[in-house]
Amino acid sequence: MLDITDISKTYGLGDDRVSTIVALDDIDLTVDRGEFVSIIGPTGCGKSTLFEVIGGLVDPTAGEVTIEGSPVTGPDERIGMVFQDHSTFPWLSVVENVEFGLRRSGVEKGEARDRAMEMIELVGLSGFEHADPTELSGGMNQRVAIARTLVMEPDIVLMDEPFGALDEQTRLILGEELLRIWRETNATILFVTHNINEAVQLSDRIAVMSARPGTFKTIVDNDIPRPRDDDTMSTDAFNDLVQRLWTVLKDESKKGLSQKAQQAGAEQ
Amino acid sequence: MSEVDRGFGVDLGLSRTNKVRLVQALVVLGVVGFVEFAPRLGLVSPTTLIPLSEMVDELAGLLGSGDLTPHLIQTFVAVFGAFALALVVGIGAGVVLWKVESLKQVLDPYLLIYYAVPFFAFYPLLVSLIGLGIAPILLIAFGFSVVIIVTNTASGLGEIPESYVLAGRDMNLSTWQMLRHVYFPASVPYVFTGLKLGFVYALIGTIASEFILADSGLGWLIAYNYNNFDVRGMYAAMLFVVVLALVMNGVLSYVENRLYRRVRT
Repeated sequence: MLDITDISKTYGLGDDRVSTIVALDDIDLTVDRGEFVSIIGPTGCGKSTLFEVIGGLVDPTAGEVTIEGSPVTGPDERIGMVFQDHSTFPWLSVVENVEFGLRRSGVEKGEARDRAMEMIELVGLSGFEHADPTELSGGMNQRVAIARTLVMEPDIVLMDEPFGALDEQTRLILGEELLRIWRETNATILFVTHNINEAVQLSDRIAVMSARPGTFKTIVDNDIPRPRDDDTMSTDAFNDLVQRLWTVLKDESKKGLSQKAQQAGAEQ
Repeated sequence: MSEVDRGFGVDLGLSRTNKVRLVQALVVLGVVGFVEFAPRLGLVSPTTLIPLSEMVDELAGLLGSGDLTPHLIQTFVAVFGAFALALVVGIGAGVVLWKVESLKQVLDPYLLIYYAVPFFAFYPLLVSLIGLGIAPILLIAFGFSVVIIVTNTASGLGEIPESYVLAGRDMNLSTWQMLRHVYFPASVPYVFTGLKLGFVYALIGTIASEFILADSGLGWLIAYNYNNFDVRGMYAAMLFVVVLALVMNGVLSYVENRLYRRVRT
């Protein structure tokens, strides 16, 4: 359904824009309807750039993103995005945050409110409809952000390390919650993370990105049966897959780190 | 989670917030009580400080007799004129600085040292350029007020988390919707911090200028009464200035809350 074809992204550097940096190089990925796919990669590999390209917020230098064959050329209502943190609006209550996108796209007030209330219940925030985001924990704010995105009923949901700023316990609980929401809404999810366990816990397939220039080293099928719970995470199958992914990722992480060191050296 | 209470070792069965409020109220009461009773008890000479109730009494008399009216008009025109001008120019220039990064980089050092410049030293220059009267006062008050509004607006807009903007773009908002529903509400707290300070600066600029540049106005009245040993009249005018500052701060806070909440649909 979502087809990412030969995506490359090159940035100009410095004032003259003569020297360039290749952030993404020839990325290919297809995500089927209802699938849960994760992208993992070392820091600075271009995960976030890829995320913004797929979401239509940044134009690729080459290549194309299409949904059901029709291209994504800019911010697109078929795509919903969930960001790492600080994206719920503090001047709106929970329900106003969730209905925000609906209201702006012209959905009538009563209907928007009803749909928002339903979605708030789905993400487990019943009773907090009229709370201010500033009164809620980081985890609850991410539930608001997820509800705000899902209520728009996008064809595909992009998530950029949505639990990245949360502590480990909250991350695990929200991971299970996300799987439940995914089942109940039949959403298609493309999930960016640097956490291997999280990727294995959640996804059907996992794409491992290389250090810069970012490209896919390998795409691994995750056959661990669902539903996956706490016990799943202590099985051999789970740990084997984590280990396999880490072997690939380890080299790339080292490369990424030495790139960073070089860059820091060059800047001095 | 239990909070460490570094309080006074007395447990009045109050929450932490209420304890803070209680202490704040006591401080206000203490100041009011001191101003009222220190002169009455002879702790302070009545030629230095008069009881608060006498200030209020004198102020009420001045307001009632209409003696204060010309001074009020003069000062209000200068303060509110300067503030209105500073508000429009300040927010406008703040938006421009936020949008034009290179301009901000050039101006940043000047804006930083702006309030280090001894503004009132320029008054002879202004007098020779514009003459006496309300114009130079209004100009000094404006100059004193505008920059704090510019810097707060520009830095406030710059502080808006990028994720708000990304979220707005993801939801396909038009440019107008972005301004109206993301940038505007997100910047309200920052802009109003600038406006509150800006008003006080306009007030300071006006009163201080009136000490030296005017032949009427509240600042002039304070200085005139001081020079003529009219302690009651001096304190009455000072009380009015303080009350004006407090009231305007309250008004701006109220407007800020209304704007922040009005975005709620």
